[in-house]
Amino acid sequence: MKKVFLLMGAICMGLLLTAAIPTVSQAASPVVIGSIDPLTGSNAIQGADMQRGEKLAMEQINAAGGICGRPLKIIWEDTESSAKGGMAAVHKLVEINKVHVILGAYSSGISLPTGQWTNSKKIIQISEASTSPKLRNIGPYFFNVMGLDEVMGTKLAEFAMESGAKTFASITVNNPFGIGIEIWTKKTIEKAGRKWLVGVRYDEKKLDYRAELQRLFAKKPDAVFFTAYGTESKLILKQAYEMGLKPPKGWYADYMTMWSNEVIPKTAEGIKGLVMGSNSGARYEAYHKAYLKRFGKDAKQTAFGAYAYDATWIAALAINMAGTATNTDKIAKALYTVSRIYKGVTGDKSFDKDGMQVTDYYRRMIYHNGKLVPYKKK
Amino acid sequence: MSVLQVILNSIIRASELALLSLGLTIVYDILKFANFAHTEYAVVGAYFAFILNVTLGLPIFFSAILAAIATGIFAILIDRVVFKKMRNANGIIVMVTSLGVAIALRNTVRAIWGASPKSYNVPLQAPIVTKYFRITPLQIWIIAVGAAAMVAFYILLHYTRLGKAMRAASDNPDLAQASGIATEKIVTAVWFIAISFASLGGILIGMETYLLPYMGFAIIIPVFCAAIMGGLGNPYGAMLGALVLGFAENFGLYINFGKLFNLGGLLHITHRALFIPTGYKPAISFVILIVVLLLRPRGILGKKEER
Repeated sequence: MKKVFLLMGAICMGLLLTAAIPTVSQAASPVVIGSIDPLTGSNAIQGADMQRGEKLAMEQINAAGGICGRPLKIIWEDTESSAKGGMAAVHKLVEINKVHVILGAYSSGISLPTGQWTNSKKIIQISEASTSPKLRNIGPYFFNVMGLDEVMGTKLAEFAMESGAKTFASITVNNPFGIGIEIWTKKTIEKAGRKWLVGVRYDEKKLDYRAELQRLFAKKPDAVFFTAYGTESKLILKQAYEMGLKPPKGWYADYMTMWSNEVIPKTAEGIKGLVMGSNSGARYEAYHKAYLKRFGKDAKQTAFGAYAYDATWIAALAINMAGTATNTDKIAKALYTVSRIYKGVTGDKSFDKDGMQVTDYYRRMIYHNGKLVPYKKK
Repeated sequence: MSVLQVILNSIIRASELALLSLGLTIVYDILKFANFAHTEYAVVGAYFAFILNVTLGLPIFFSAILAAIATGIFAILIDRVVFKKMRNANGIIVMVTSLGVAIALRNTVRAIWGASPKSYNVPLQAPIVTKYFRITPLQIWIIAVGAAAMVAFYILLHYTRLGKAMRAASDNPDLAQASGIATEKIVTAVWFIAISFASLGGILIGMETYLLPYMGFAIIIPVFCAAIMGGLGNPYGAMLGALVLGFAENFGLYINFGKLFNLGGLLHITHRALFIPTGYKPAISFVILIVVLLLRPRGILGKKEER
C-alpha cells in the first residue's frame, strides 16, 4: 500500500512539474521565492525545523528537475519571532529581492500584518504555521496550509471536558492566535453548560508571569487551557511550578510542539493536549526518512517542519502549473488546483474559497518524562 | 494567595530593582546626568556571567562575582572613551549620548548572542512551602544579595575615605577638588560600584527568568521610576523608591477594587470583583510616580534645591 501511495505521489508531482515546461522560455536562472521563519527569538526551534522542511523540499524539487527546468532558490529572512521583524523581512524580500511568492510565517501575530502588506502588493504569501480565523479575511493573495483555531479550540475544549472538570480558565498569548483559542474554547465550554471562570492574556517577551498566574488561579479552576510560544512557556510553567499552581484536572494545551522541546520537563509533566498534522502514512514516513538522512534529526521534534515542507511543494507546483514566477494572479489560481491534487505530508491540503485549509488532523498527546506520547484514556 | 505572599513578592521585586536604581542614582549624583545606558550594562553583566557559567562551566556564584567586576571595569573603559570628554557638557547632551551607548550595547549583545533567550546552568528549584507562603532558595538569595548590597553601600558611604570623598564630591565638586580630593578617581569608583551593582541585578533577574538582549529596555522604566520616586541623586531614596514600587506593583494587582468601592460592604456600588488587568502592571509604576511627584516634586527623600 505504501508503495502505491508513493508511486501515486511521485506521478502526480512529476506530471505537475513537467506540465508547463514548454511555456517558459527563460534560461536556467533560478526561480526565487522568499521565506520568513523565526530563526531567532522565542520560536527559534520551530523556525529551524521549518527552515529544514523548506530546504528539504527545495532540494527534492531541484533533484526532480526544478520548476519548468529552472532550479528553485529560497531566500530566508529571520522574523526574530516578532511582527516588527516579520515586516522588515517581507519588505526586504519584496523590495530588494523582488520575490513574488513568500512562505511563512509562524504565528498569526506575524502572518496577519505581513499578509495584509503582501496582499496589498499582490504578492503571494503562504502561511505555514498560523491559525487565527482572522487570516481568512486577508485577501486573494494569502493562503494558509494549517487548520484554523475554530477547529482546534473546539476539539481542545471537548478533550478537557472529558476529564470531568466543571470550571475552566485559560492563559493565552495576547495576540490574534491566543485570543482565537480563548474565544473558541470558552464558546465550547459554555455551550456545554460548564463554567468559564477567567481568560488571562499575557504579553510576549516579558520577564515575569507571576501576576498572570496568580490571577489565573485566583478562582481555583478545575482545568486550564494553555497556549504559549517556546520561550514564554518555559518561564510560565517554571513559575507555576515554583508557585505550586496546578489545576486539579490538569493543563490542556494546543499545538504542543510549540513548546515541548524547550520546557523544563518536570514543570510540564502531565500536560495534555493536541498536536497537529498527520504523523503516519507513506508520505509522512518518506518525509521522516529523508529528513533524518539529510539533517540527522528527528522530524517529529516539532510539527511545523512538515507544514513548511508541504507549503514549499505547493508553491513550487503552483508556479510550475502557472508557467510563470511573476504573475501572481495566475499563481493564485493554480494554488487552488494544486492544493486539491497534492497529497501532503501533513494530510489533505485543499484550500477553501478563502485560501484556508478545509480540514486538519489533531492527535491527543500527553507530556510525560520529557517527551510527548500518545494519550490513552484510563 | 496570602497577604504574606504578596509582601514577600514585593520584597523580592524591590531587591532586584534596588540594585539597579541605586547605581543609576549615584551616577546621577556625581556626574549629574541620567544614564539611559544603565540597564544595558546590567544586560552586559548578565551575558558576561553567561559566558563564565555556561561556556566556561564555572559555578554561578563565582560567575556572578567575576561578571560584576568585569562589567564594572567595562563601564570605566566606556567612560574613558565616551563620557570623560563630556565632563563639562550640558547634562542633556550627556544623557542623549548615554541613549546612544544604550542602543549600541543592546545591539552588540544581540549581534554576539542572538535574539534567542539564554539560561544559566541553574537547576530547577523546588519551593520551600509553608502555610502562608512559598519561596524558592534563589528568591531567598535575591533578598539576601539585595540587603547585603544596601548594607555594604551604607558602610562604604559613611565609614570609608572613599565614601566621604564621594559625599563631598556630590555636595560640591569644585570645593572637593580644591580640598585635594581627586574627583576623577571618585568618578572611576562611582562607575565601578554603580555598574557592578547593576550587573548583579541583571544576573539575578536572568537567574530567575532568562537572558534576552532587550531585557534592559524591559526594566528601564521601573528602575527610573524607583530612582526618581526616591529622589534622584539620593541612594537611600533609590532603595526606598524600589521598595515602594515593589509593593505598589504587587498590591495593585492583588487588591479587589470592587470591595474598595463598596467600602468593605457598606455601599453597593458594584457586585463584581474589580482587579487591575495584569497587562497594566507597568502602568502602576507611572501612576505611583505621578502621585509621589505631585505631592513631593523632589521625590520622597530628595533634597530641596538651593536657589
